[in-house]
Amino acid sequence: NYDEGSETRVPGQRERGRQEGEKEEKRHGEWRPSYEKEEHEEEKQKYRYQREKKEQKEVQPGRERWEREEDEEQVEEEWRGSQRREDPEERARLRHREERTKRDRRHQREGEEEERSSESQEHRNPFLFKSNKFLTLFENENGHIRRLQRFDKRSDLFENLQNYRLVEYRAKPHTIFLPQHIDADLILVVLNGKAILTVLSPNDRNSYNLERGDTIKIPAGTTSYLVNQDDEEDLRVVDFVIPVNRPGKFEAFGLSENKNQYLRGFSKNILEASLNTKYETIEKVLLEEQEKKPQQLRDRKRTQQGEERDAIIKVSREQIEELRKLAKSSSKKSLPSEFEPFNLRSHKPEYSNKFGKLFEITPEKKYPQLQDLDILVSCVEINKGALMLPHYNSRAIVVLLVNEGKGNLELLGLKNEQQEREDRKERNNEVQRYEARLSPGDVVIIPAGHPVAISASSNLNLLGFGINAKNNQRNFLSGSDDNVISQIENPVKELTFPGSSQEVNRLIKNQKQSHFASAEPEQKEEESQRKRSPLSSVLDSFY
Amino acid sequence: RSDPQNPFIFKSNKFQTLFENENGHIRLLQKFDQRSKIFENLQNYRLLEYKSKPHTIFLPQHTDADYILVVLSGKAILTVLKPDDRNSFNLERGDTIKLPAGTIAYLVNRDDNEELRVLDLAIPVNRPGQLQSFLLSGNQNQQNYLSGFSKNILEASFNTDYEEIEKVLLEEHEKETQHRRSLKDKRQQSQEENVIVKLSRGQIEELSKNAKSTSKKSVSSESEPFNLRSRGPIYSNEFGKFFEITPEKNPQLQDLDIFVNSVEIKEGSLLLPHYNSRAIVIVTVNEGKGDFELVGQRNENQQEQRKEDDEEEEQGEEEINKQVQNYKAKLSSGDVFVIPAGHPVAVKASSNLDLLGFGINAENNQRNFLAGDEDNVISQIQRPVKELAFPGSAQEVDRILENQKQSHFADAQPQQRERGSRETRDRLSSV
Repeated sequence: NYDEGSETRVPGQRERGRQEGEKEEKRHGEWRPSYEKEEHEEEKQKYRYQREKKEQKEVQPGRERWEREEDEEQVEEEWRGSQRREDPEERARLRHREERTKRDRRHQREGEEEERSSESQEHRNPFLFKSNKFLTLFENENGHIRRLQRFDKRSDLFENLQNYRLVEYRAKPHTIFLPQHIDADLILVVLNGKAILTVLSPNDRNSYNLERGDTIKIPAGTTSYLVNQDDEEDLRVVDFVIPVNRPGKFEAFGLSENKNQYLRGFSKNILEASLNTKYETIEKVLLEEQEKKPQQLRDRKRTQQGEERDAIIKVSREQIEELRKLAKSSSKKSLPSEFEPFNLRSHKPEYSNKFGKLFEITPEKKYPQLQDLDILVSCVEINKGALMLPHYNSRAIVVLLVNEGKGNLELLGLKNEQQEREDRKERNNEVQRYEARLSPGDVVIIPAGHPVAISASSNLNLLGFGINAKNNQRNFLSGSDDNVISQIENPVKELTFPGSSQEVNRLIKNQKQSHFASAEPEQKEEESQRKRSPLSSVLDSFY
Repeated sequence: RSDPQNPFIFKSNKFQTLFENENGHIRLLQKFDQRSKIFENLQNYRLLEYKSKPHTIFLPQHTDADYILVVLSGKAILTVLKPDDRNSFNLERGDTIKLPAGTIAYLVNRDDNEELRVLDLAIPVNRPGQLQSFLLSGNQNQQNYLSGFSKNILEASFNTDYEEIEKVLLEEHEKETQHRRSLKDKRQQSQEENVIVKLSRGQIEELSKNAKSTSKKSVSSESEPFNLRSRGPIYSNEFGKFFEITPEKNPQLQDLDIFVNSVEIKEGSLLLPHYNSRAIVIVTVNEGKGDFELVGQRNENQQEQRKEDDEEEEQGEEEINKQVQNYKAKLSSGDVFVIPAGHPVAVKASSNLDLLGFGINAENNQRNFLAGDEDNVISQIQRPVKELAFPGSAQEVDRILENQKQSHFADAQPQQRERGSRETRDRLSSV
């Protein structure tokens, strides 16, 4: 009998149902506006909260260091700001903490005036996400989990990145991220350290020794856990996340005992029937929270966060030994590569010379793991004082993470791309240069077709995830190989450029290197000085 | 306690009647994403239910959506037209076929007694979540779509006088008396007045002549119907059966990346807690009664609540923010529930329960069970990690996991401790 719902018992729900019906007619097919409204609402909440924090903001204009505890704290509060302000006690504590950090900051700040540039830089450069745009999802003394701001929230330019998120994990030696599954496909890359990753399937289990550069796809819903097996080094891992349930949103389902353990979500009687065991026993063996260790007690006050207290915990050396026993390494190529990890550097570099190297794993190159996601993973090493020559990706949008080192990036866009949002009146198609100073933890988006060049002021190690990767081509604009400009036929060269084709060819040949070169031109020291000066003057304006 | 805020359940009254007359009805479920932002990825999926009396026909039409059609009960003849071909199929309960968008089809209830019930998953091609039907049969208010063309075009196209065309193809039939009353509300509903009409026994016999049955496996399976139960169940024991056709097994489902499954849970049995690794499953209760429990996270829903609810509620909501949450619902025939990927779920049958599921994002989906002997992902955790993850020792954890000897389906009444379980059952049934 279809028309009889048991809902009649709940009149309120009936009402709700009717309202929904009405809505359905009104908003016929218009989900977009409501979506934007939601974003707007979130935005508003954030600002309301930020007003409270404004004072603090003013004293800390630059925030670009990879690790800065106060920052993480602040960002994290931003994240859960709206719920915290309700609680007066929490507010008092907050105020206290603000004042404390403010004091600390004043001391700390004096020598760091140069950092001031970052805010204004961000404002003008939508392509750059400084490392402080990572929000801390979880943190304890054993490590943290941080998630980058939504790309599409920063700018409409990144609408196609709506369903991609970046997450960073860090864990101390001899610790474990406890078993959990996430409703998203993950591409996991080890940035630094040594790990054992264990991936479970309903009837099987695989453990892998992972090292720097090892990459593995973890399909959505896979229960897994990650151990830092090293005695000294921190483990740093980055995940490229592609959610399956909701665009850009994902949830972690923890299997281990803490407030967030999902087994607790089932009712007593489902649990008893499922496990065929008395509830008291189930509770004792599977569900009960352990007594907290003393150093975690101080976290008690952070009730909001407490439920994930145990996401990262210590492991003894013996336990690690036992886990290590069955772990396979990525180097062994015997097994089918469907689920095996692979190392970004295991194949010879795509480009390599004394100035730098680019390693790349594309969906085409027998990596079935990347095929259905249509993603490439690349690793770029630019030596100190070297330049990765200007180039653009034909169709891939690349999310580039600075793993180590410092440098500068120039990205060319068109002026009106961004203006569309703010001001439509001035319609000029002028080329605009977006510059960014890179330091570890920063993320840059390089849209397809947008020319980019990167110079390294210290050895620079970059990790890139490319969306829309299949058939992507890197077109270089200078250098000896892969230079698309040199492919232009001579008559057309004359028409395209002011110089004659001979002049153009001569100029192109000046750069003997391919892909990577010295950041300091060798030919005309004097001229280059002049060319460089506008760049540095722009930089100067930040100081 | 069934949660009034449970966004995962769509009671059967959330179906909206698109058409109804004395021969049957067509009903469309509320848009999933209208209910909750959680279902944003279901934006382009709609659920339709058809019901018709014996000896009737749904007249020829096409829709701007791909359909996966499943017969819930009854016996049908489905005829699918192509520009230069025609195929008729005898369909029975569990028969499933994909109707590609724009295919003209008609559906006959050939049984003498039983009603025909059909469920369609529709995937619109023109606009997300919006479907439109184009009728070839004329009726009072909305003529068949041919009449949308101008006189000139029609005359030239058919190379015939317009009067003739009008008489033969377009003119409305004289209505039966009971239709006259609906003249008043013509705009609303009666548009599709003649969508389901009676057929004589003779007509049905003529139509069944050429109809093929699914059992014959001779023809290429590209467009042939298949029965959900034609392959052995993937899980089966005395407590229940689980049939599933995945895109890997069936080319028709491949490009839509959808699986279709049929779950039978015996009275008093339980489908053990599990989650789908990547599929979002839309489950319709075909027959029977039961309970389902789904574990979600509290804050998933919060954003909307923050907007809608008043402040008091908001505060209460946030205090327990980010905790796991149990969503419960009583199930009865015609209800629909959605299981997002990764969300643990368990279903209990209080009478023999027959469920039909459509899984979106189906390829490489894995069902991870959290209890039971086989496919139990928890038992795959290495012992040292078991100790870290759970309060009990690894031995204790293993012992608990071994208590449940069944796999996939089990008795909803734990056998070990009759007393304790009865107590909890009482509480549930009192609700």
